[in-house]
Amino acid sequence: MNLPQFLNLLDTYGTNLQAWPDAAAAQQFLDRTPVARQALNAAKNIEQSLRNDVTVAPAELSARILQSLPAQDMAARSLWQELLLVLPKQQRWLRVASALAPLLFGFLLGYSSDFVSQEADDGYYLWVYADNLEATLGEFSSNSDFAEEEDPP
Amino acid sequence: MRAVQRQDKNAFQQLMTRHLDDLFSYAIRLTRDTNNAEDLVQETWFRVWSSGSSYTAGRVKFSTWLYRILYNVFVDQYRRQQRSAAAIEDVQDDHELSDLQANAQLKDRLDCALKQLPNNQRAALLLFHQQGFSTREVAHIMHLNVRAAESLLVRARRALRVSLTQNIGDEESMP
Repeated sequence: MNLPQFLNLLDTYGTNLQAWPDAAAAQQFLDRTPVARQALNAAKNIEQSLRNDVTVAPAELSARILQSLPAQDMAARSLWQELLLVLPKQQRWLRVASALAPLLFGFLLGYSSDFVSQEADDGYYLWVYADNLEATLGEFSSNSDFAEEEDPP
Repeated sequence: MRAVQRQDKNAFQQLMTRHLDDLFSYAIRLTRDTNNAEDLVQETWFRVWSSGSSYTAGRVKFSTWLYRILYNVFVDQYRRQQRSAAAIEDVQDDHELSDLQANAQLKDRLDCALKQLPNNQRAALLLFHQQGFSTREVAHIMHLNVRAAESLLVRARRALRVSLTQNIGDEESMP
């Protein structure tokens, strides 16, 4: 192992020699090369400095974040959203099925009530027809133009 | 997190308190500006609140999901600033951050070296060494494959090492 190889491994695997492909060779090289030890120590200092690099967030930031949240509490949430949250996300078919359920329910309701409305509609149209027929017949009887157009005997 | 998904503000506050300082530390290193870091963190938590239902427990760690949001927001903001031709680089380097971190010589040098790194290398390096994520998690957060994340880390470490070594050399050569 030479210095460029050592530095390349240092950049690739970091300062934990145990994570290197050939830790024993690296250790031997390290023991006999002061420049390599210097490079390793510098890299360790960098890593430690980064690990300890915690900047405390300003005290008011937390409050500002909380204030910025939209006022959407439990009471304002729909039953539908609640139901969707309860369903496990891994089983996506359940979510799809739950979304389609109201549609299916509406379709079935409409389909089953079709027979009832059909009968009602029939009655309505008969009544309307009869009502209109009376008026129409009255008009027919007083309409001479229409009488003239009757088929000849 | 399930409580947060049910829009429980107390649970949200607890979760935020647990992660706020780490997230802010990462954001301030990433943006190199206190105000931008605050905005970034605020937007991140806002998205956690409003899109909490998109988090699937067990698939990734919450912290991985959280930092992925922050990274997305950072990239969005950076692109917006680039589009509006606002110079994000180097303008804000000389204030605030040094006030916060001016305790040790190494920290100062590290600040300078980190500032010189490209954004993606800095992001990867901080995620790995500052926040303790694995390479796989770094890749997930940054929308990369593992090899690309490893490559970024190698380049970042090398750039940092070279930069710091040069700085040390410069200081040592000074009378």
